[in-house]
Amino acid sequence: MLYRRSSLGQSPWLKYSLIGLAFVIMTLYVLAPLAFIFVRAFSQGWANYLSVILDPYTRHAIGLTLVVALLTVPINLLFGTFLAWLVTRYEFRGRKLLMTLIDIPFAVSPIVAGLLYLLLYGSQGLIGGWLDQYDVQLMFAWPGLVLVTLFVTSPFVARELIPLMQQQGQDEEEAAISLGANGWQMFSQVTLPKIRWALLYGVVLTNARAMGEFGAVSVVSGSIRGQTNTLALHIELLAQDFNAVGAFVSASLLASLALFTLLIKALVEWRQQQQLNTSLEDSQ
Amino acid sequence: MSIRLSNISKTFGQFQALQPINLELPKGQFTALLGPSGSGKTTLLRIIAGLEHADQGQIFLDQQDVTRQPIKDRQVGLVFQNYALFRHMTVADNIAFGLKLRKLAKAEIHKQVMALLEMVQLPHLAKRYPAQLSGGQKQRVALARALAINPRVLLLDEPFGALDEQVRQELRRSLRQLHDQLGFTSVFVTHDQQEALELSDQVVLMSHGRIEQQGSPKELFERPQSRFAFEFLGHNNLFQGQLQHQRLVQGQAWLQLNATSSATSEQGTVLLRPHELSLANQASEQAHLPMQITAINLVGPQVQIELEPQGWQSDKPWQVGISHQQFHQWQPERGQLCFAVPHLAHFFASHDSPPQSLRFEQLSKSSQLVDERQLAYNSLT
Repeated sequence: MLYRRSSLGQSPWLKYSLIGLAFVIMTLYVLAPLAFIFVRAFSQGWANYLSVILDPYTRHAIGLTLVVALLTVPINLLFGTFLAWLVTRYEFRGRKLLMTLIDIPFAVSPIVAGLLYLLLYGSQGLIGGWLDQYDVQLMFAWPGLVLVTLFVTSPFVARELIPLMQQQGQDEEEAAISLGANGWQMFSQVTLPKIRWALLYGVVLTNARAMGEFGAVSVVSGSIRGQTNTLALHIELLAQDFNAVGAFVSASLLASLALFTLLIKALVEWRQQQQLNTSLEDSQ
Repeated sequence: MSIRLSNISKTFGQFQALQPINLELPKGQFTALLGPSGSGKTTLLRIIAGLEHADQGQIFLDQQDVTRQPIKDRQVGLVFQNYALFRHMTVADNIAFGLKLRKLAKAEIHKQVMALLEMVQLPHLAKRYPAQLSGGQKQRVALARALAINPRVLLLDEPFGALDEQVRQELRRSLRQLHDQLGFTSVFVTHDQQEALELSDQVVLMSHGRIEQQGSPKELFERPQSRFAFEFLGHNNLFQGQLQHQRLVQGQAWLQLNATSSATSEQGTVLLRPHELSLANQASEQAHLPMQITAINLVGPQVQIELEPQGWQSDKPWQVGISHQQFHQWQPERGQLCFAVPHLAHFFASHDSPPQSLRFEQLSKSSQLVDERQLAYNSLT
C-alpha cells in the first residue's frame, strides 16, 4: 500500500515530469505565440515600431479602443453589480428567466449579436429608423461600437458576483442595518469589501474582452479608417494590406494592453496578500 | 422596553408562516421563542427586529408603534445564528461599526470598544479577524457588537446553535448575567427546550405559525396543555389502548382512568413522563404495566432506564429516570422484569383533545424493593 501511494502522488520523477509537461504545453499554446508577436513587431527595429504607432490611423485606433473600453467597463460594472444584487437579494417572478438572460451574450456568437444590432439600430432598422429622423446615427459610428461591446461584455461582472454573493448570504448586510447603517453605508462598508476581488476580476475580464472584441464590432463598425476602426479591426485591415509588420506592431499593442490589465490584477492580489499577512503577524 | 405584538401575521407565497399572533413581552424579561424548525419563531424574531415586514398587525416598543419604522431606527441589538461578523474588519472594528455610524469621537469609540471587549472577556483579541476566532469567541464579539449601540431590545437567533456543549453552557451563563446586569429586554429563538427552560423568564412555545403555549419555564414544564407541548418538552412514554370499564387496556397491560376521562371515547392515549414514573417489582392497584429492562445509562444526575413492554406494545421503548440512590438500593440489571408505576399520567381522548391529568397514589417504599424471587413470581402470574 505504501509503495502504491508513493507511486501515485509522491514520486519526484512523476511530479517533475508533470510540471515540465505543463510548462511545455503552456509555452507552445501561450508563450510562443505571444513572444512571436513581439519578435515580429520589433523585427525592423525600434524606429519602425514607433513610426507605425505614430501613424495617425493607428493612433486613432488606439484612442477609439480606449474610449470604448472606458465607457463599457464602468457601465457594465454598475449594471453587473446591480443585476447580481437583484437576483441574489430578492425573490421575484422571472428571477430564473433573468439569470438565464444574463448568459445569452456568452451563448450567442458575437457576429450574430453584431448583426442583430445592425438590423435593429441601423438606419433601416426598427429603432435606428426612428432615431434617424432626429439625425442620430448609431451604426457605423462609435456609439454602435460601444453598444455591441456592452452587449458582448455584459455577463462578466454579474457572472463573477452571483455565485459569490449567493454563497455569502446577506447576514452581514442585515447586521449592518441593525447597527444603524443606511443603504449606501451598508453597501460601501460591508458589501463592497466582501465582493471587491470578484468585482475586480469581473472588471479585468470585461476590459480584456472590450479591448479585444472583434466579431460583433466588425459588423457594426464599417471599418472606416480614422473614424470607426478599433485596434482589433485595424490589425485585420493592416494584415489584408499585407502590412505584416504594421499588423504585428498593432497586435503587440493590444497584447500589451491585455498584459498590463493582468499585471494590475496580480499586483492588487499581491497587495491584498501582504495586508493579510501583516494583520496575521500583528495579532499573534 | 416592553414589546407588544398585535395580530401579527405573515405569509411567504402560499405558506402561512405566522397566523395572527398576539404577544406581550414585559420590560426586562428574558423570553425564549421555542419551537421546531418551520414553526415561525425566527420569522417572528425578524419581524420584531424589522428585518421582515408583517403582512398585518402592529408592533409596539414601549407603547410606541414601530410597525413602519425602519430597522435602523428601532435600536434593537441583533445576534445572528452564524454571528454575521464583518469578515474584512478586525474584532475592534466590528464592535466599533455602530459607534462610528453614530459619529462619536475617536477616543470615545476606542474607550467604549475596550469596555465592551472587557465585558465579553476578549480584550486580547481586538486586532484579530473573525476567521481567526473560535465559535464561542465569534459569538461573544457578535454580542459585544450588538450591545455597542446600547439597544433597547436584544434579539438573538439560535445564539448557541453551532457551539459545542461546554462553550454553550458557559455562554448561556454569561449571557444571562449580562442580561441581569444591563437590564435590557431580551428575546431569543431556540429549538432546544432545555436551553429555553434554563435561560428564560418566559417561554413562548410555537408550532405551525401559532403560539401553542406561553408561560414561565415552570408552568410550561409542569403543565403542558397539548399533545404537541408534551412531545416537544421532553421524552414521553406512550400507552395506547381500548377503554374497558374505566380502564385503558392493551394486551396484558392496563391503566385505571377516572370517571370523567373514560366517559368520552372508546380508545385513548396516555402519556407518562419519565420523571412522573417509578419502577417496582410489583404492579400497583391502579396500573399494570409489565416491563423488561433493556438498557441502563448511569451518566447524568439521574439513572436513565430503558424498558421494553412485556405482553403489550409501544412504538418506542419507555424511559424512566430513577435516582442514583434508588438505583444502588435496588440494583437492577439488564433483562430484569419489573413494573412501571405512574404517579401522574396524561390522558388524551384523541390527538387534538386537551390533556386530562390522572393522579395516582404514591407507592409505599417497601413495595418498590422486593427480592428477586418475588419478582420472578410476579412475572409468572
